[in-house]
Amino acid sequence: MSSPLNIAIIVTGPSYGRQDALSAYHYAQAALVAGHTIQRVFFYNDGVLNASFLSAPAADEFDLHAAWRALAIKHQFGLDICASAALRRGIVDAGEAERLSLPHFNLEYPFQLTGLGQLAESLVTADRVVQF
Amino acid sequence: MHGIAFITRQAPHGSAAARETQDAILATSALTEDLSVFFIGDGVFQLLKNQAPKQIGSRNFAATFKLFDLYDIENIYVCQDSLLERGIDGTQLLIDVTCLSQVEMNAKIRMHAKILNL
Amino acid sequence: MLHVIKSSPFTTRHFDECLTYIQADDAILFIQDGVIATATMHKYAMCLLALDNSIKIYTLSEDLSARGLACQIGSNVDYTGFVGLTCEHRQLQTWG
Repeated sequence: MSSPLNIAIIVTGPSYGRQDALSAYHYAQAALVAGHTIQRVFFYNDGVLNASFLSAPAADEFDLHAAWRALAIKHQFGLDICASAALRRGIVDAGEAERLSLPHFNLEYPFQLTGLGQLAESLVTADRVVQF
Repeated sequence: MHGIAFITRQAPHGSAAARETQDAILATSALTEDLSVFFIGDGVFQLLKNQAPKQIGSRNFAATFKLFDLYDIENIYVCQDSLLERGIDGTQLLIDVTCLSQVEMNAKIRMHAKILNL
Repeated sequence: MLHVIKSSPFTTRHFDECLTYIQADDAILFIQDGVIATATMHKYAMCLLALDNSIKIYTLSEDLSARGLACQIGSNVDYTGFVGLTCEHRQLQTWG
């Protein structure tokens, strides 16, 4: 195998409705098995919807939200949700819900609200940035 | 090889892609000057003067293109073929840009290590 | 450069546009509905056959079999191969 790379993944599609997030997840899994590191998964555009823990797929269907959580915790990489894109789409953590006087929140660790600075950092420092 | 190419092909306001690409460009410019922006296909419509999106509930993010100079975002390229195909000429654009043919755009894009097509 | 195409050539212009940007020694990987491009010998598949021999065509196996399709042009790769391609090519560009 070629030397391990530090890979950042950008997800622009929701956890259900388009295949982008699923493709990104399977790519991330394969990259980790191959010995590469995932610098971060950065969720942007409708990709921020992956963060909602209120998603409830049918019991016999794949739970991508849960799969992201498990993969990120096991392999210690960030699930970075662009805060500005998230707030516009109704994805909020406890802190933002309180700040904005919203009745509830739907995002928690290992997903975290971050800035576009994280995307920028990956664009500058990662060996590869793979966009889904 | 170095640098980041942001390619934007989406018309403004029909989706959030164009606006959010601009946000990503601005954030990246805070970290590096080594970036270029490519307006291709319907992306050229983002640069048109006289947009009035407030009436449809959309943000007038085009106004922020005028600040690109202030953010040292200087490598701004527009596909001449895309303009011609859409019947737009350079005088209709908000900011000064470098118009390149599709062949020149391709060569320029390939000078960058990371390429985003948002 | 590795070009990743996600949409069917019958549905969007990304296939056509990508082919105007492709150069010798580039590669194309079809994923998601993009696998339709290599699944039967339609007009878009013919365009791929007409490309320079140095341009490698790949289709993601998992997305083919999900759709009950088989690859008629170029090679299958699985997600491991997908990762390998993104390592092999210094530049990546994802089309819609």
